[in-house]
Amino acid sequence: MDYVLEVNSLRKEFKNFTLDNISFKLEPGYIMGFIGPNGAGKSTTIKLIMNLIKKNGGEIKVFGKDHIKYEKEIKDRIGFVYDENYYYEDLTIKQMKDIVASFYSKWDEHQFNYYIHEFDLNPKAKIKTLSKGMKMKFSLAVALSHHADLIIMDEPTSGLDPVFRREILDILYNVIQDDSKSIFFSTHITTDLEKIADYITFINEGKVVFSKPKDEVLENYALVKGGTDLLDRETRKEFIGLRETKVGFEGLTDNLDNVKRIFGDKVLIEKATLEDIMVYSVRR
Amino acid sequence: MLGIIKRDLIILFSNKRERFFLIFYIPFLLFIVESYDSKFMYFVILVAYTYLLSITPFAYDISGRTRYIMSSLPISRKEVVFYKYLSTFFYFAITIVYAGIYLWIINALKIKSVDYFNVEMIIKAIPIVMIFTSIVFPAYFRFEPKIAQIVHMVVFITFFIGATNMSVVGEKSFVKYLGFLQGKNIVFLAIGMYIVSLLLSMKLYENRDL
Amino acid sequence: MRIIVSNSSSEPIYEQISSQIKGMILKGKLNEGDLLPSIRGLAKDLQISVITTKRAYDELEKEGFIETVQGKGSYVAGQNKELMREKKLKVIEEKLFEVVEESKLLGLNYKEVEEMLRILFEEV
Repeated sequence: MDYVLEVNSLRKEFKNFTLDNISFKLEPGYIMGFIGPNGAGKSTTIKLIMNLIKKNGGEIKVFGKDHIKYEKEIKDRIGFVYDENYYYEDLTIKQMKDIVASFYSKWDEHQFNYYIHEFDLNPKAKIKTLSKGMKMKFSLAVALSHHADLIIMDEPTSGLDPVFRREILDILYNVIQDDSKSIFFSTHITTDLEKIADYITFINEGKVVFSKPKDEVLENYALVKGGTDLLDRETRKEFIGLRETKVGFEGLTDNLDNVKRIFGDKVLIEKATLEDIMVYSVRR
Repeated sequence: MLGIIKRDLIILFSNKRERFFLIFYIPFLLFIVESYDSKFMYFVILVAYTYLLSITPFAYDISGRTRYIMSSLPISRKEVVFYKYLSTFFYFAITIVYAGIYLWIINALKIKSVDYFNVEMIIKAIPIVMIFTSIVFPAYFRFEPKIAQIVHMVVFITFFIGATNMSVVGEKSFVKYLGFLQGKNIVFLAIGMYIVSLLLSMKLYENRDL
Repeated sequence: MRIIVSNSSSEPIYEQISSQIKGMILKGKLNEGDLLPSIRGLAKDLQISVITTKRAYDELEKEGFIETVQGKGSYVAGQNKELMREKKLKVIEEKLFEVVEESKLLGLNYKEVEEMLRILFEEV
């Protein structure tokens, strides 16, 4: 099976932080959400995939090929969107586009113009005059205009309002109507992913907590609410994270069946959102 | 390669400050480097102008972040370096044409008597440009632009001081200088340095964390 | 075609989808050969993930309600033939029950009804 993106035991060491044993796989035609708190290692992982920084260990394959040995042909098929806008500020959109377009073998001017029009961007505007949202839209327009098979996005919606984020979601839905396209999308705004993501990889403090189909995650995790009298040393073990107050407790479990067995109907069970999972997993 | 050069040229011409510089640098040089030897003037202009055309685009990565975009495009690190080294000759050609026209106008308008095309000087200028860039390029490929700029400044100022000095001391010393340049040695030295520098830059840039 | 999913229901979304489609097929709102929305188009319309709609369709296909043709899409299957057949048999049984009742009221005996049936079988 040719995965569109395959990361195995990836490792990167910094002075104060280590990305350790990162592994996950994405099949073509699907969307993987890459979630984790700030500083967890999401951007680092993406920079490693794109070979912007050098890995210390492990393997990364894109379209089934080693990401360094076949760097050029792989990047020709990757559309990228980063959170900070890294463009030359004095250039206009058109000038920046001219530079970037010349590198891609399958640049589609027609498609680019379509997106620029859709996003209401002025090609003669200088990059420095664009708002964060507009810069992101420009990035996306470029990423979608060279027939890329994999779109990699690093926190593309942070700092953008919910209306805008919904628009981006719509665009992504349109992209995946074509089942040869895949998307890898890192964010700490999990609500964006809850709808559209097929797979979720959760990373925290440089390690992968889980990498599973989203539905499976949401089915197995649950929020449990009950009276604090129900908690003792044994029962506390059932929870990944626990919040106790004077009036009761709220806990996250990844084994719903167990919890049901132990507490029966003495507790209230609710669906856990990705945000709940992230928050409880992180705070310990 | 076209992509890299396109980027450099667009950067050079998009900035008002750069444009100003590019247009007024030649008269500036003529003014600063007073010399009775118009051949020498031509030589200085060729070297300085080409060198600056090559080095200035590096400065635009000072914010650092723009590297991320360029490095995410389908081009390998080795290629980036290789085309950069190749582009020096391309800039040299541009300089010959541009300076040629500019100086021809100055000459025609009788503002100053200058050489606007001199094959001998062209042949002597190429190795000098190669030597300077071969020293400065690796610095930019390895270090942050702010640090690399120091190397650039040192090299450039040395050249400048040398150039102004040569002209001041007069004809005699220039002839000596010319004599040194005449040797085939300088050509071999330049080529050797350029190739070593190229390989060094490739090694440095390939292993660098951006 | 009407498919509505609830985020707050305890029933998993893929099940909500498959049971709604099943319902439409059984009630006859969807007929054999009807084309269903594509997996991806449905995901987009409902704003859920592709894997979820795929799971719903996989279930429907396993139970024989739909058929997927590579490259073309998913169609309502030549219905769960067993089920269809059973349904139709039941309808026939009910109709025959009526015939028997009416015949008895009129005083016909079995042989006369059989004769009528034979003639009809030959004519139709």
